[in-house]
Amino acid sequence: MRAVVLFTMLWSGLVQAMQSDAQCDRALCWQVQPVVCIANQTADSCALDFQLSWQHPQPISVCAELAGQSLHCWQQQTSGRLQYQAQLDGPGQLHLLVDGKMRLSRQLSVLSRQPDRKRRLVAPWSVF
Amino acid sequence: MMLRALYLIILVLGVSTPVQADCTAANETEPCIASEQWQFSLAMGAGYRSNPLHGGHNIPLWLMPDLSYYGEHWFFDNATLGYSWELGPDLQLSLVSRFNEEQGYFRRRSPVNLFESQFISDMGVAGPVQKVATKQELSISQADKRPLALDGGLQLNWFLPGLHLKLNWWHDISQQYDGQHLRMAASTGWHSRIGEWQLGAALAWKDQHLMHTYYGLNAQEGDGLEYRAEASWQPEISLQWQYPLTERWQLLSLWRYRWLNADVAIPAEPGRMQSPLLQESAVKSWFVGFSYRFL
Repeated sequence: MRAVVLFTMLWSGLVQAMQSDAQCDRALCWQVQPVVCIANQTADSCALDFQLSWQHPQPISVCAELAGQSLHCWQQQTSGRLQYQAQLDGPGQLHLLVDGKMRLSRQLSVLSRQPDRKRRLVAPWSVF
Repeated sequence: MMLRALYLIILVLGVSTPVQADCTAANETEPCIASEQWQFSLAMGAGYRSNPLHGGHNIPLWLMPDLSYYGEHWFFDNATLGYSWELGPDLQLSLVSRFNEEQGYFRRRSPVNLFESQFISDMGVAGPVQKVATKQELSISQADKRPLALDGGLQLNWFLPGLHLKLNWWHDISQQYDGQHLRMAASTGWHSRIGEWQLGAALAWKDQHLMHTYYGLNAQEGDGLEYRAEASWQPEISLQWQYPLTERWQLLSLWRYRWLNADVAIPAEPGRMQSPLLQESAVKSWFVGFSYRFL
């Protein structure tokens, strides 16, 4: 059972990793890697150290935002690169904005090694 | 003897730490469970649950299962089916359903005793399986068949630091006894050097409809002896001990004592009649053995 969960997680991670190739909106392209954070448990917060890079043929002003919070802005440049460590409590949306308008978006996900644990509502061995 | 018992209690309590109710804590054990996974453990050992009825068989316990599944809202836990909502971080409300356990005393093989009756044997090393009725008033073999009822109701779980409170309201949704019953329970767990402990106390109230359906007698079946049972209060205490041996094996011991109310058992006052079906004023249960976790 644990092997199946692990395989599913790895497969999901691989798919996400493949998706992390360049994404473009017209001439503006970006890459974000990695986009999946592995936590010990679902409830755990997860630190994701990711790298973002973008390119555009003409100089433009670009800002990167995570969950509505500005991470970094570049003024009149043709490319940019950012290394950032995000603390994720759950999935977070990473956006690339040009002149205040959202042009590209990626989801940063959190996966857990252990299944979520809940409180048991009926006493163990209650058939006794 | 008393000193030895006192020493044991001090030893157990003195070196203990309360079990965390928060399932995200690293050192949690019970009552936490992995969600969206079936959990199955089987206990093997010796024990029995006493049957307070005249002519009733004690239920020997050789093998006991512990089967549960908890999804996001739905859960199945040892024959209780439920759907729960989180009202707060420490408060859960559930719609629940299960078979009423009262009929289990009137015959050995019923869904109520499903788990136990799969494995029961008449050869009990753990206790008297066939009881000798010393003062037989009316054997269950003479009484009419008692119905198997399906209960539905609400359950409130409140997780306080070191204490779990549970309130149940049950109603007969199968219209077999057309009544209801309540149960209030409190339990606390702690770790010690000699294992994990769970101490519980509960108080059940069973209405007159329930009590009369199972413990009342009409003149026909009582051979002229008629008895109208009244509502009943039934307190109980329980103690559970577990000692992990490996990741899957553990030693397990369970004990429970349930008092039957004076209205249905021992007369509370002169002239008050007890149910002629009842021979004992308490239901005693115990089990000692090993358990193995399969899932």
